Amino acid sequence: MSDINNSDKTESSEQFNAVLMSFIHDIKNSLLMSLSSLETLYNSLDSVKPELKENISLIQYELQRINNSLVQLLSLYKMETHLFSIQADQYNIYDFLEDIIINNTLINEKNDFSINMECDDTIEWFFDKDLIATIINSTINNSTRYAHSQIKLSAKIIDEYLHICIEDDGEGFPKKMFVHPDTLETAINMKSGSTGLGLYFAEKIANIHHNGDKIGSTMIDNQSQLGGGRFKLLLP
Amino acid sequence: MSRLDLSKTHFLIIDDFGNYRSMLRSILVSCGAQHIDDAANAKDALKKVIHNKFDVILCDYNLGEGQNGQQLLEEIMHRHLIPYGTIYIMITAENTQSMVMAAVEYRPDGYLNKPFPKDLLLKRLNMLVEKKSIMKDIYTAYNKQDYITALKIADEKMAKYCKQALDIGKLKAEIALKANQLDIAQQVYDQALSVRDFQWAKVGKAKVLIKRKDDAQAQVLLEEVIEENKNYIEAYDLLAEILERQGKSKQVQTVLSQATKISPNTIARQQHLAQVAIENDDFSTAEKSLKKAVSHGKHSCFGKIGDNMNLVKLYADNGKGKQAIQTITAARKIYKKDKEAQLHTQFVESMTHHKLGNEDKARDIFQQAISNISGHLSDLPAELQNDLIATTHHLGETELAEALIDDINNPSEDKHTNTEEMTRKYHYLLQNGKGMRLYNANHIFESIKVFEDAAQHLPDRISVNMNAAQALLIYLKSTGVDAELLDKARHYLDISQKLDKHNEKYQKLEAIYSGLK
Repeated sequence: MSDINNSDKTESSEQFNAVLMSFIHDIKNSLLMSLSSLETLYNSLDSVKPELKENISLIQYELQRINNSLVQLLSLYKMETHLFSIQADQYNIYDFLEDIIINNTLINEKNDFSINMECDDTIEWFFDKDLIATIINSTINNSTRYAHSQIKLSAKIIDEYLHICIEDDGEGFPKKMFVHPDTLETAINMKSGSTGLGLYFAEKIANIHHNGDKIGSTMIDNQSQLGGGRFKLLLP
Repeated sequence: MSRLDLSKTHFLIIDDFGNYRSMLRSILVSCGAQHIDDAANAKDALKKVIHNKFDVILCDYNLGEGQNGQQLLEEIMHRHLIPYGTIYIMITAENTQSMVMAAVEYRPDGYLNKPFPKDLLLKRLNMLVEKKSIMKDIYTAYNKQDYITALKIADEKMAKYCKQALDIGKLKAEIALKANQLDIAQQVYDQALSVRDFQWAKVGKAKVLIKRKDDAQAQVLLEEVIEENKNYIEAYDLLAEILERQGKSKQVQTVLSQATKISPNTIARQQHLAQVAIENDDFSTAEKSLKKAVSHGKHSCFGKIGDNMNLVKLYADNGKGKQAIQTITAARKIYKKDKEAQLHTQFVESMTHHKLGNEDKARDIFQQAISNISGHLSDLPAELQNDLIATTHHLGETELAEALIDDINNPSEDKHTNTEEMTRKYHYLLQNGKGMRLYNANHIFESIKVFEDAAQHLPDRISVNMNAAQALLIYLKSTGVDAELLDKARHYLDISQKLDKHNEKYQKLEAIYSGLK
């Protein structure tokens, strides 16, 4: 009997999974419609008033935040239910980071605001493109909230690890954030909203990137060359 | 390098979501595109692809009812509906990409995650145009099966284009495997593995090892890959292949079950799983996977009437008559325009009734089906041929089965006779079978007429003529001699003698005849 019950449970959780997936798909469809319409709107304005520009940037920022949260939520759910495997392959880092910058174009064009990139165009590295892009996107998204005028995205190889840094010129991270979010509970207990969850997600994703004995990791500090916070992602 | 002139590029947008189609269209227009067509579903898209030439196809993975973007791509590639230069980009919701990517044999040129700004689309298009133009000569030689040239060009291009070297290397190894140049393939994979534990390189190396008949080493690599990446579907298929060679059908089933769970849409894998499950006497797994194969087959170019028929046979073998008949009816509807498929359902229907004990119905349908055969047996699909022979055997029509097998195996002889003559032959062989059933049921007198009918129309078949003679002689033996009937028996014996006087049965019949005279 217990076997039958178990298989019932798996089946119903599979069903729930399917429902969840289709809901998220639906929400994402709406989001993408909004984001694309926003881009069309932005491009159709010949001369945009600075305040309007800032408003559009803000809407884009919020929409992307929702999108990032959804992707993270779904990935975490998959990790918990063991539906998850990384799809690592080799990518050119310059291309990869450039895609991310393009994806954040509007933010990039926000008044007096710039995202710069520093990366050798010959570096090839090995990772799950979608997952790492999600981390970087949500970090950039977060930085735009705190940065004054600049964000720098850089990548280089140090001691056989790829270091990807996202730095800004804001006030830096508050001290209470420097606790390593080891579990979902501490991540939420930090009462830092989605940032805590985002850092937990980033650490989890970094950790599942292996190369031999080396594993990936994340860290945050306030050592930004621009004077604000710095998020570092190390991939083996 | 070649860049795309958008004003001259022909685009096709495929998405079931109207708002999204018009938005993508306006994005393309804002980039300078002038030739944009769109389709709301796969069926519509297929028509457009057949009748027009597109340079770029932007297709959403989710297309609502009917085929999804991947199935559409498979059909387009399988039927060679687009030239090499056409760029096919699959648009996915972020979370489906890995799922989509791991599962497929036919891949699009690129993926774009929703949402994407127009600059990213432009960048991707230009990169793909560049990549395609670099790889073009390799593919041209590869498709002509000129592997030596293809490998040579691949080496030249790899030296020239660092950025694409990895993609070219993968293609080079694939070509080397096809050409059985195992050393070259292994060199590519080993080199990649010396840099990093690439899963694709491990799977590639496993393929080399399998070709070198080193299943044990290959198995280790494949199990490693699956351990690292549960979604690497190709590794499961190769592992199943190895386990099958070792005769471990229980393990094969486990591996294929895992694989179909991850990628339920691949029909060939569902067929394979069903076949193994039947071997393992696992009715419910076989049923489940055949049902999946049938339901996906409705929308796929890989769907086959054979899967429907295998499901029917599974039901019939397990005494589930109602489901068997329902499945037949459903299959008739799906394949209503396909003559061969209709013929196939008739034979399997006959077999089903036989298995369910409806002997008369089985024979009625069989006779009808035999008369419906048009064209030459050797041209029919193998699955239909197999079910035709199996049904014939099930019904005990041994003579007919032999004739059918002959006609299937000797297409050249077969082609000289016309269809009408052929179906006539089958008809009288069926008469012969009917005669045998009467004879065996001790209705000897009744059998004589039937055998004679068959023998008169099949003067070159010794067995039929001997049957007629035998029925006559046995009848005469029990009722006493009748001159007219004895003459008839003589007639069939003479024919048999001409056909093969050394035939053992013939000689026995001659002995009986001598005894009666």
